Amino acid sequence: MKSFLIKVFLFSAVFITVVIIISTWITYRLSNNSYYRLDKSVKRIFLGHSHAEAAYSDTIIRNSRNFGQSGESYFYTYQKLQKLLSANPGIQQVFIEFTNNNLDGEMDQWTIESSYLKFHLKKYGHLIIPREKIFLFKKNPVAYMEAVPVNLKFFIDYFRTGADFYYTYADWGSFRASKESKIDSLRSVWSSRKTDYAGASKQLKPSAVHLQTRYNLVFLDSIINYCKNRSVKIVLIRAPQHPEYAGNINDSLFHTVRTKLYPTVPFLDFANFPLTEDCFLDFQHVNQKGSNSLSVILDSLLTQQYPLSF
Amino acid sequence: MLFNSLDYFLFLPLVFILYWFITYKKLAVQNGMLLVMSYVFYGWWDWRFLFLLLFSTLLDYFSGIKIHESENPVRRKFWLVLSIGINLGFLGFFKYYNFFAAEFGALLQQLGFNVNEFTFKIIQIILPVGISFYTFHGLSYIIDIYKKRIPAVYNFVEYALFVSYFPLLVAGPIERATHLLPQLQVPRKFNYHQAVTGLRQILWGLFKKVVIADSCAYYANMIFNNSGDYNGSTLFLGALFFTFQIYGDFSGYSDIALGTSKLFGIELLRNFAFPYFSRDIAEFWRRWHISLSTWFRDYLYIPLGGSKGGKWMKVRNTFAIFLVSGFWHGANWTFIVWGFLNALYFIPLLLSNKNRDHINIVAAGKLLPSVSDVGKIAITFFLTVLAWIFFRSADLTQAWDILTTIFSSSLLQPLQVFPKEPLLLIVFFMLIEWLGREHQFALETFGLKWNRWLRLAFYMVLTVMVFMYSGKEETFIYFQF
Repeated sequence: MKSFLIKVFLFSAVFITVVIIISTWITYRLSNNSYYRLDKSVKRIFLGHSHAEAAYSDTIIRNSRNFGQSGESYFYTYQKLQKLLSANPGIQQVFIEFTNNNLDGEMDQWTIESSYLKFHLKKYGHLIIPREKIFLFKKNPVAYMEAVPVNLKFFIDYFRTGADFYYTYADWGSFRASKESKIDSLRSVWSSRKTDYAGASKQLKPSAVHLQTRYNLVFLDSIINYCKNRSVKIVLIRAPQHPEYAGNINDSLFHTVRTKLYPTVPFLDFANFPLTEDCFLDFQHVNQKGSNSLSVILDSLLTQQYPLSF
Repeated sequence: MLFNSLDYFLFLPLVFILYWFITYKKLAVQNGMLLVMSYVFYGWWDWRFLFLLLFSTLLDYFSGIKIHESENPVRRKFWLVLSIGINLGFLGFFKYYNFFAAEFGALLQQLGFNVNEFTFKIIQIILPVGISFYTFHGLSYIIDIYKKRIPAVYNFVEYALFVSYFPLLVAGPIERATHLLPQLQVPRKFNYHQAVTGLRQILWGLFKKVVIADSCAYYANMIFNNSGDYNGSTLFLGALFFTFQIYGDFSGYSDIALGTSKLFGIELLRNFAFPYFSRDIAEFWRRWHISLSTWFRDYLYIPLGGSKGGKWMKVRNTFAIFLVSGFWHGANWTFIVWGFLNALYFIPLLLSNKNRDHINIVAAGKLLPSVSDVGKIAITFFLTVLAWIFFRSADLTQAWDILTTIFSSSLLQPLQVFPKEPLLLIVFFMLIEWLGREHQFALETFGLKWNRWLRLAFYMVLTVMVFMYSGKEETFIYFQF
């Protein structure tokens, strides 16, 4: 028995060492900023979840790149942002989607719930500092442990296959707008959900904001501070919402939070941007037509209000 | 709890320590601990179904004693029928109720009866994991006592452990009381060689499941779930992926179960013997899911008369065993047709007395098979792949559409999907399987004659591969059965 246990222990120790070596090698190789370098013309970046992903067309808005991605909480946006800015000193302006559902408790799940954690850690695991890794591990140890090999294999495959452009391979987010409009078919579904939102809103008071999301806004603070420390202009932005969007029932709370927590951060609010029905994919996302309309206006607005230096 | 989960990799060392270091002094305590941990293992999935497992165990335990103690044939038969009836009743309710309700309702409607939605209500039933397996454990025990092959067990813990021993509880192998119970009734001694072999078998099982089956599953699912979008060659590739997926998945599970049990000094029945190297379908069925095939042989085929009667009797019994085997897998016509197709493959061999032509291991003692063996293996494999199409398809229409597309000119069109990585993995996997085919499992002696460091490096590569491909924690196909 003794011999068996010693051999099992030694084999496990060698295995753990091998994994650490592989992990270190991947982190080392990916620490090279050349992987993250963008075209020098990119001076503005858009970040956030699906609202940002669908709304801001980087083919229309000059000198911009949209890194919005569905299901992304501020925790992962923060990881992404740090690398983008450190590898691309030419980026002058960061636009972060800040909208009603960023206050929801659900956003915390977008950080730690198994499927979200595994999806994001696969791509950003090597960028996360130990203190934040411990945070994730404490919140969901099983998913975290399962995500580690997925992250390693993902990048071993990247190096092995000599895959294409890093951002395409790792899918750090991009402008994606649907051509569809599902407003009519969704109208009946959302009208029933509106009742739930109304019920929930009774309990939603400004002081209860941290009961809704416990750490999503903490990482928005980190994002803002990081940009400020690097002297990068940061702007909060809210994408258009359909007039019947039930998720904005917490709107007064939203404005209270914004003015109290981020009084010095500029806010571009397009929630009530005038768009026709066929400009929406659903009640909370614009489609390609809506995005085109918005992006044309936004491009001209940015040129006037936030000029770039070349 | 899944064998390929993080939970299990914490659970197994814990049970190992409790087993060999804490409870080893007294057999009853050791068995009691194993029983409790087996219930924890099962309850991890859904604790409510522990009551069903316990009820089934108690029923068979008391029925076994009643049958054993009685000399009155009527009373003996009463307890036998009661036990079988209730066990199959549970199995039927959880697994087949909706199937029969829907099919019977449709039949009545076709016959002109007025059937409304309340006549045979379709209800949402969660199928308890492993019910088909532990029900069959209990049935074999009761039938063996009735046939006076074994005495009843009076120690409840021993019997309950026989039914719910965690390595085999949810997906077999389907054990026999004559094989497993005697091992549970005597103290076990730690055997270094057995434990090391067990670890090697666990490693190989994990490789089959995590690296092979889960890699193939991705493409098999993609192709089968969108079968209408693909040409014949790609659909055939999808069927090939499923063929290796189901083998890697199920035989991988069995290897982990057998390997785990070896760590506790308990040997389980072998369940797979390199079935894809079979030279005919009869050989395939002696090598695939052996514990189920032999169960049906002993408790269905032979009681029905086996091969003793005339040709008609042989054909009837063969169809019976294959159709029941298909239906055992699930309440869907696809499984029944899969069983029927295998019966069709098998019957010509049976009628021409060629069903036992290939008892020995293919190309035993040689590196390569003969050309004739290669041809036979290829034909058998091809027939098996075709049968798996029914097994994997959602319904008969889909299976038929896939088959008609495969057997059309589009079979000659270029592949629409050509993933190199899983194909290379399959080649590597089958190569090791071929080289190890004369043993209980491929890795049993593979590399043992190599330099120690080379051997360790090989095991390390396999371990790292398992680690790299893990994280998805895909469930095992046979859990649904």
